[in-house]
Amino acid sequence: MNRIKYATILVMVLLLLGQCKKDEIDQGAINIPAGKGHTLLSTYNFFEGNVADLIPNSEAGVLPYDLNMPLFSDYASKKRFIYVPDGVSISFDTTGTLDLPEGSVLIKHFYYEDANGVEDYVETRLLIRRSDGWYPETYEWNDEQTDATRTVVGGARTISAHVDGQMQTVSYQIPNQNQCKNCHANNGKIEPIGPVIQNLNKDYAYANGTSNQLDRWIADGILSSPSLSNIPDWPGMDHPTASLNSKARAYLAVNCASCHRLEGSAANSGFYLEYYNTDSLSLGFWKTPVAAGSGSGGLQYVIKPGAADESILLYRMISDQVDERMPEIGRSVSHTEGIQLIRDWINAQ
Amino acid sequence: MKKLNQILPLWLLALTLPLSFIMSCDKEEVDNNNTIIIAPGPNAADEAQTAFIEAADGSTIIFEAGVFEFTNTLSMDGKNNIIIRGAGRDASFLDFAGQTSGGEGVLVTNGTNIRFENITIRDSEGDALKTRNIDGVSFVNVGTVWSGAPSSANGAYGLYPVLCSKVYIDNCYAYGASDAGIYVGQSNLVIVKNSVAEGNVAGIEIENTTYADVFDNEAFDNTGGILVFDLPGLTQYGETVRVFNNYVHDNNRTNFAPAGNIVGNVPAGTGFMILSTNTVEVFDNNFENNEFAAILVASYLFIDANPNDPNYQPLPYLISIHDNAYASTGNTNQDQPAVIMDIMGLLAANSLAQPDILLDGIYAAPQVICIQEDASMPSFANVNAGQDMSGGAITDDMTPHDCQQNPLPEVSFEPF
Repeated sequence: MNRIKYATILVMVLLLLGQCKKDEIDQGAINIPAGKGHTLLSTYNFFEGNVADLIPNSEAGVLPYDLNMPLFSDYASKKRFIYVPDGVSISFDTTGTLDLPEGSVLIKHFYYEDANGVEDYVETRLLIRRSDGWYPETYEWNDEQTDATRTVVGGARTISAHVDGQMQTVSYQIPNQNQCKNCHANNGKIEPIGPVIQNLNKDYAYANGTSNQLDRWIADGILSSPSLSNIPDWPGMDHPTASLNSKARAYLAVNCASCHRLEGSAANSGFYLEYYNTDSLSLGFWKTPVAAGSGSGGLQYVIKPGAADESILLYRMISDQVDERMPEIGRSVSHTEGIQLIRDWINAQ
Repeated sequence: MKKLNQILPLWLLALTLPLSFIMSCDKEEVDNNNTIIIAPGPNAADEAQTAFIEAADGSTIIFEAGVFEFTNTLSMDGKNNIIIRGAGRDASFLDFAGQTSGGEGVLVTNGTNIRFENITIRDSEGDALKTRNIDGVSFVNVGTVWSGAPSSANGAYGLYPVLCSKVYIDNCYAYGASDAGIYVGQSNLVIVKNSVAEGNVAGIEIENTTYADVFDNEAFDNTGGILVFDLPGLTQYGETVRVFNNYVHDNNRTNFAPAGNIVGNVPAGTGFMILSTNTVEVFDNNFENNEFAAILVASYLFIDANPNDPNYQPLPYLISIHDNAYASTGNTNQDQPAVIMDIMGLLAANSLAQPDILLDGIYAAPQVICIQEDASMPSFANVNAGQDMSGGAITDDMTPHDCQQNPLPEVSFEPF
């Protein structure tokens, strides 16, 4: 009798244990929780084998990707991956950020390299597309660099890294969940920034050969075929032939326009930097500042054509003061190459 | 008996093990108690930020008495019906003196019904307390302060609701802002009352905002006491603002706004200033010792001849000034930008004292500004820059403004 009870209890316990562990039994499948993010990055199965090797789980459909014009974030190096569930695909749309289907995940890994090229993993961010919108999750890598743990409040890290050709100290800020939304905002809802056709339209060296990313996504069935024949692209910083204007506008679009647009966090500034904005006042030309405070740098205009050093836009890109620098978050050191690009562009106006 | 003892642990196991597994399956317990209390201590900043992220709608977040030190912006997003309460404006301090990241001290965005009360935010690097895109935001007994003598290194705005509606500011205190102590921008339905603004460039500023009542406040020792401005190129334009029953005195502080900011053009010694807006009623205020002008009405065109915004109306109109009290000593601050010194020189050259009411005269017709001050008989000057930018048409004749406008309606809404 007792033995039967004992067995019953064991079965109960095992059943409960089984429910709890159920998600982890299927080793290969992507594992996205219904509610809050997993505690460990490895639990999602985005990567094969050792999570720290960052080998995408290609079997399950995780693809690495890259952007023509990346967002500058304190010279951090980044690796990006996309996961779109089987059987659904993204509509081809060049008018804004791609609308990924439910269950999709964007993965962005931030790291630095030391002088010897040894990688120091800082954080890995996820944007998870659920039925009611996008949800951010942030994972901070442990000191052993074996896995990353979920963080809600983020935190500050002082990093010595080989950036911009020399060893520099970076006051790196891992964002809290609200800060994710500060940049990833579209009319109060979270939205990705990077996956825009124009920014994805480039070659990538996949494990099985180089091909255009859009072609690959279409071939893999995660992106629908375009109706256009001439697919636009944005140039990268060091594009050999692109015009100064298109490079500068792409830079401003990627680095500024997620906030600086009518639907973004800086809507109240009236200063809008989307790639296709042609309105000279809202682009900052001869525009007086509204709420800049000391961010004005004593200057009269956001952009004074032909006079980069008299333009608040450039001043705030250069400043390292907390209340002056732009972007407001995600930057503690200035971006030498970006500053040069925007300086040249303003001076050419 | 012995058998029973052996069995008992099994039953305990049976009861506790499944429970513990259930717990470990979902560590994040649902907290049915909607009050979150933050006590001072080394983990307080993280606890507060966690609470600001994870609080369920309807929660009250309480800061106990003490100092809470932050190095990053404390932010909340997408919440509804939240009360953030301290133990008193002089008891609970959110302190950002050590801030290394973030453009604001406290930032609340994209929500409905948010209420701050009994708390002071101090020494933020940028703006002190910004709320953006909130429908129903209340600040009651809230302070925003930069320690020490007011400085251009201080943040721009103290209380800073922008793109909000149903903004209720009551019994607040703002000190040391390098732009405006209490600033309401691009918002609709606003009440600012019973508050004190001291030692800012602008004490209280209503900008590109519709339907605002500003009353029973005290503004002193600012560069300008109370401002109602409309600027070009923003998401909306302002109108319909009443400023009444305020005590606006001794606003003579040398303008310390960082150059380039519009508020840097406010003359030291300004009680109340209107810039390029319309439908404003200013009445029953007590203006004392604002030595440049108790009331200044000006156009953005005086500052910038080309606003570049085709939809912007830079000429003020439907301005009604009546039944205010005026007093001044004539001891005007001489530490002013050149353009202000020029105006002072122009007045002196025409044997005019610094007036109680000063117009730049850039408007469509004199009767867009109606002045009815029979009881107090203020001194008056009109630079008439609309006719002659050099000031050649300056006059102290107030009679062209002897007209009346209908009283504006009271702003009425249920504050959260």
